[in-house]
Amino acid sequence: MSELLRAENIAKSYVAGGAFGGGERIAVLKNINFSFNSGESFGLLGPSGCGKSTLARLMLALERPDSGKIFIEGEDIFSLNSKELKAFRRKVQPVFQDPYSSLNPRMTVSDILAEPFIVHGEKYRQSDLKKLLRQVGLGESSLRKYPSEFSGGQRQRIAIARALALKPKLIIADEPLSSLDVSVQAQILNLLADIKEEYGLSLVFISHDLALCKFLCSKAAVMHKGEIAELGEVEDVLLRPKSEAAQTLLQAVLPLN
Amino acid sequence: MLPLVMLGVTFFLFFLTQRLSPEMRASLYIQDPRQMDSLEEVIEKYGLNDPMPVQYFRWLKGAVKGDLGYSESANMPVTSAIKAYLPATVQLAVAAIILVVLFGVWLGIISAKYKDGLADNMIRFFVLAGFSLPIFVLGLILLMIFYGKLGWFAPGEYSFTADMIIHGANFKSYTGFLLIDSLLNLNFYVFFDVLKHLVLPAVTLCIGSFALMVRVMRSSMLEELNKDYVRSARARGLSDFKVIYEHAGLNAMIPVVTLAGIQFIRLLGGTVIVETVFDYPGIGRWGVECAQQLDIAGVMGFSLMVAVLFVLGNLAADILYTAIDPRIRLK
Repeated sequence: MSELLRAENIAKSYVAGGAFGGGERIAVLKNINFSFNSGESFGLLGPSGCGKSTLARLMLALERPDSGKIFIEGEDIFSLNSKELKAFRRKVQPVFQDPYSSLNPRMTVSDILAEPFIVHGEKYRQSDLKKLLRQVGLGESSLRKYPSEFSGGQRQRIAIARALALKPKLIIADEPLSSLDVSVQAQILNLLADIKEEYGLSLVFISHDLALCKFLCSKAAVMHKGEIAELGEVEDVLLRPKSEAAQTLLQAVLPLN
Repeated sequence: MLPLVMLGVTFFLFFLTQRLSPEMRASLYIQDPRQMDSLEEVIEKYGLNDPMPVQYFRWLKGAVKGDLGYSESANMPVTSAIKAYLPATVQLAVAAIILVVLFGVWLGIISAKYKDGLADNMIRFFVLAGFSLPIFVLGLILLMIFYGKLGWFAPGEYSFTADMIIHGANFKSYTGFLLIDSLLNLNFYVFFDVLKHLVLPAVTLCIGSFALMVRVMRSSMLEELNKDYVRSARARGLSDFKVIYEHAGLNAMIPVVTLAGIQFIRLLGGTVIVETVFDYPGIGRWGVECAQQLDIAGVMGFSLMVAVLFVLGNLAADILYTAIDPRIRLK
């Protein structure tokens, strides 16, 4: 199996406060290194505020790191020209946390699903859009509706269908379940597992829930205060954690069992 | 809603005018000091000494029938005066609101896009500076530069030549709005003449509303830009232009629509100073004349009209909402 993504020495900081400039620089990510192969899924765990979402935005090339590189299929994604960047956008697609803000309320489902095709100059038929909807378990009648007519779980399905439109190699799911209620979580989780099989794609699954991660991923990293505290096979990370951060995170869920 | 607002406004104003003695109100009807003897007669004739509710009810009865009384200052019935003066003001307010919305939205977007950058700070500074400048000071400065020094724009609603044409035999009045009428008459000289005379008052009028519009658009835009659908649009490979103007911009405009509705009405009622500075024959200038000459029927008619416009403006904004926000589209 070939390597899909490799992150090397990523560091990122933001300037906080300071209405007249000269605010304090806060390091959000420090010394991030990891990699995984295509077809493999990678779990990114950690408490809120540890830099998971920032790392997701970097992997989507929405922001640039202060230093370090991210390679996707051997290409450095921060040194692409605009044409290469567009090709990269087809390969990597996001699914965000809040399905209420991730769909443009002015567009119908049909517009939303057609847009990836239009942007990348690809022909599509109505049947392609219907097929996408079927794959995420929604009916064809949804095409003419607006996002506001759907529930949170259905919206997340639409967001997943949109991500699938161009058959990406990697989907970056930034806490895709945490704004859904538990019964819906299970449905979306199964959906993610199914499409992973069917499309043979990789998933970066960002979450603070270890059990969900174990269900989907083969490799995992636990983040703590902007650094990777523990990295390895998902079983090792979850059952035999060495770092204190991973143990704390694990203990936080244990009382439920 | 509409009847309630109208009743409230007119009752309050009527109450205020009753603070004037019947003699003062009667003196309006007397042009010549030698007629002062007939003061009692006038008071008797118009029932100015009756209890206030009786007088108000009499006014209300007339108003329902479309008779708002006679405006002494305009020398015609109040309804005719409104009909004569309103089109010029509407023209002015429409021109101003178009400027406010177009540039307000555009500057708001630029401001949000380059948040805390040089462009953002410049826009915020100048918009606030314009807002802080009193409207009559700005109007006079603009007149000094563009009329006094450069001679580009003149005060008034149209030039003397245009006046001759408009009141000539061949110029037909269809709507009362000179911009529309001149087009219908295919008289482009008058059209551009009227348009030219609109520039300075419209610019002066819009500066005050500008600050609010830019601010609302900026904060609304910042909120939209932080939403995930904008991020995901970028991640899908959409161009910056499309992401900002098509995705975020249109959604950010929703609060702007209400604001524009309210601002438009504010502009209509608030043209008083601008029309006086630029000697523009609109409803605002007439309102001032009414107040100065104690033309009570005129003041009542003017206020009633502003109240009606206010409610209609809000209604229009609500209707516009449904066009721009799919979440409240009526089925």
